[in-house]
Amino acid sequence: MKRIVFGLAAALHFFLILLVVSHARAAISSRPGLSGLAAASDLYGTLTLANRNFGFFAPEVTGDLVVRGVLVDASGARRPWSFSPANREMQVRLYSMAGHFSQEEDHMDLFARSWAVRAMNENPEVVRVEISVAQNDVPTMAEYRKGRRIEERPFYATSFDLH
Amino acid sequence: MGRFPSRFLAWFTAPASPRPLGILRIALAALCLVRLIPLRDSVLAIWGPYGFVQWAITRATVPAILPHLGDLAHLLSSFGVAPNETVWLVLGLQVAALVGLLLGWRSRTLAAAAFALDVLFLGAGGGLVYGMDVFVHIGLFYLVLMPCGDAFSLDVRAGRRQPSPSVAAGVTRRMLQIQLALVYVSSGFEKAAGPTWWNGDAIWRSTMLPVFRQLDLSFLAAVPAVPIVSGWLVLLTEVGYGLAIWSRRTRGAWLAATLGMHLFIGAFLGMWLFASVMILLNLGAFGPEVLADLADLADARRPRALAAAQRRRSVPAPVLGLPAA
Repeated sequence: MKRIVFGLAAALHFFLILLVVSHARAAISSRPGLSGLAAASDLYGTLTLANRNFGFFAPEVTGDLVVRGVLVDASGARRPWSFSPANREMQVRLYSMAGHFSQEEDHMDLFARSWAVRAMNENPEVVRVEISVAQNDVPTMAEYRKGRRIEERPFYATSFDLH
Repeated sequence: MGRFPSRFLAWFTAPASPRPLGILRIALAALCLVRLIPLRDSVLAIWGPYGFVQWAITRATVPAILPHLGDLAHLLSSFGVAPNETVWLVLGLQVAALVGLLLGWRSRTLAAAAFALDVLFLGAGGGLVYGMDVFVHIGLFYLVLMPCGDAFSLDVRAGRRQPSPSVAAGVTRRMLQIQLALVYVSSGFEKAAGPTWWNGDAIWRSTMLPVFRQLDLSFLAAVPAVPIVSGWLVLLTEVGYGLAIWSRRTRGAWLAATLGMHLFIGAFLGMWLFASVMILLNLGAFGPEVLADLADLADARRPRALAAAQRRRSVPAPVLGLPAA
């Protein structure tokens, strides 16, 4: 009996993984009768991370994003602000955060607001934060041979005022 | 039951030694502790209420049925505990659980505790979570299922667990093996769907991106065959993993190629923690089989080597001036 229960649990586990990696999860979410299965798959994925899309760096490697800020105090003085990662590990995590930021347009304003609040908490005298995000555009190998180099392209910009 | 299902069941449920699971438990717990070292000055920036991504946002990304660090902070605030203190408290509990797990004291319970606390950190960490965190969490999930305290543990020393082969040890390691095969095959097909892993651009870009750049590899533009072939090798390694890792003839080479790929990621992209967790999970899943294959190979060669040695011994040593008969 114990073996049957474990066998069924293992089968369900791999079924939920296959549902996501085969992209069937995306297809069933639009079918009303299967919305419960989609919800269960999402919950299991959030809890275990076992069933998620494992396409790292796929189908392509996108250019990394560079987040910068400008802090403005009540007198109008401006100074630059950035995340300033403490080490390599934080640098990788901030790269990941910028990737999440760029996934959906709805996310961008939320993330930018979050960064602005953090900048204001770190610098209480600030009354305005301007956030700009640029993307590193990496040339192809052929373009590189012709002399083109990595260029930053504007990706997103916004500003937040305290009042 | 048909021949294939019964053979599959026999393969899947074959009892196995708990020793590989004991080693995996120790290595994964150690890695979980090591990964906290570079983050020690950024704890509140990652998981705090006003970190890079605030709790108000990360809470919305976690299903309402699952707990969030903010929920716990809210609960503890009635006892006078500030939200930042809640983060440190939970981190302290996580470290204690991982140390206990490393030593193998109440291993399954502490694996479950470490896993549950990691759920809180994943939720609060929001956007700052990356592949390394994903695979550490998957590893902890499997440790909860595995009889990981049945070897090299205080549980065995205390007589709570027996270091004997079990069906649970075999089944759960098979599950980890299948999980890794699914991860690599799906990752390989996702990569193969676009042109950049075929034309070398993905390898070129990943080594050129400022965030990952460890060494100046811009000379690759002059020798595009290197990134092109490297991209093909990544695709072959990942897609082929699903078949080659199960065959005794190929799994040693495939495991070596997979470990090589992760060492490349560590060396050239500077993602050593990610590389470490992948190497660790691969060795935990398939290391025992590959070691057994190598031992079999050595045994198979031994009779030939012995015979050759005997032949050498049977030939009389040449005496000065006299040729051997």
